[in-house]
Amino acid sequence: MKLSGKVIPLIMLAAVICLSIFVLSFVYAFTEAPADTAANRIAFADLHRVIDAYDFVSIRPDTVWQAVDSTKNPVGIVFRLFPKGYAGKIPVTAGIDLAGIITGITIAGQGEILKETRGLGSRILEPWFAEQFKGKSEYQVKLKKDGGDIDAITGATVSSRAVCNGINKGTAAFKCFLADTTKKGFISKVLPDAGQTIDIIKDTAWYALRGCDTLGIAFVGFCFGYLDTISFLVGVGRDSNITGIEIQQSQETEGMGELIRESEFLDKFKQGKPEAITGATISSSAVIKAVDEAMKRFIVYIK
Amino acid sequence: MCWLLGLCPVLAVTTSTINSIAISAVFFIVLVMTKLAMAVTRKWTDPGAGITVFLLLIISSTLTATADMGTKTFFPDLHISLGIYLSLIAVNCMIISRPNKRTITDALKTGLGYVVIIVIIGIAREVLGKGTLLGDTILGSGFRASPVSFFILPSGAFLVMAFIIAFINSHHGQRKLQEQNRGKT
Repeated sequence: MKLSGKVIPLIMLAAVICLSIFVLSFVYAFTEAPADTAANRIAFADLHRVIDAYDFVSIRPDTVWQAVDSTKNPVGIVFRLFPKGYAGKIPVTAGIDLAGIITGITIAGQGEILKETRGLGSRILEPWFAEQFKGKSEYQVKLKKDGGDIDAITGATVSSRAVCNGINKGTAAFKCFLADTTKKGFISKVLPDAGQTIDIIKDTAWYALRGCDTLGIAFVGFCFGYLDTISFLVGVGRDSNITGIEIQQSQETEGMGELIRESEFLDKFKQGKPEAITGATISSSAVIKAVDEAMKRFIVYIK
Repeated sequence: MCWLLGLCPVLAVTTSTINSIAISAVFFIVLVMTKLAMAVTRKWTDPGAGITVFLLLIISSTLTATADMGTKTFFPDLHISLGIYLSLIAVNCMIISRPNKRTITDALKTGLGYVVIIVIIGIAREVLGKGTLLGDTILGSGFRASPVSFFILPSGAFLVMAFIIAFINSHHGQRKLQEQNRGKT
């Protein structure tokens, strides 16, 4: 047959193509997972430097990661931003733990270039500058001349301020990812709409969030009433006004001290003018005083 | 007389010895396996020269892609250093396959020659350009404070290549002289 001479090479070609496809798919399927973990280990070297964690889960690609420990519990987040400095964008990587405290920052990590003026702005790369961010809360991350706790680099105020601004923006935007997903339902009794919470002080004070917006804070407090301890839960909105208060535990006299549980008394807190109850002065004033002191203590978290 | 083929990785990748060893090793493996695959299929494809080219294309690309994925999994650091030049091995493989006679010993000789030359260039560039060899510092700290960084740049690679070409030419020149002398006597 005259045709077979031409057909066989074509069949051969088709066979080789099919074989190649098979080989490539097989190798890809075989190597994809280990290749990903290997690449992640290298990419995450940077992240490991800012927070002490076992592994990282990407929340937003290349922007926010959740840091988890070996039992997959979250220990914090890491975010990467590029605030505008003096001569260009400054790559800042920052790690925050569950209490909203910065665990560490890296400026212009591996493979990133800093465009700031050499000798002036580039001095933000000096180790002591990044070191001072460790352990600061988001409200302290401001230059000393702006009212915060961070020492700027002499002659590089713009660059230093840019780093602080970047960290503040990042904390504000991504703090919601720190939230404890186990809902503290009781908080919505004093702060309606609250969905997630972030611990400020364990079992004592929390940020209340809905989605990524901070609605306010909530805290518990104690005081000694007429007969026994009274414990209460207070919710404060972002405007520093009490949004709700609830007496959680009280063993006061029925009909007298126990009136502190009534909404007539509690609603006055929301209006900002709590009044002692006639006939239950000790219990109610104790509560008013304790709430006032607790407010003073926790109001800094709302500013 | 030298063939100067497959030069792209030379400029970009030979900046350190370990990179040179890596890329030339991968190239060698891909080249030999391509030749083997071509030899196996030659029985059925001789008549059509067009088919042969296709086959060469497919086989070398597949093997290079496999090598690329393998490197990504088992040697991720190397994969990042070699980057795109690992994929260029496919092109070099095809270029070098054509002028050679299609025997496997030829492939082995060409591949080994490539390995030797690339590694020599890598060593020269690293020792003179950085003062280290395979990452270990071998030249004194005085040299390492300001090494001849010319060799790290592509122009340095060309210079090293020039010396190698000169060496090969002189070697061939001597051989030609010997043949002429034999002819005369």
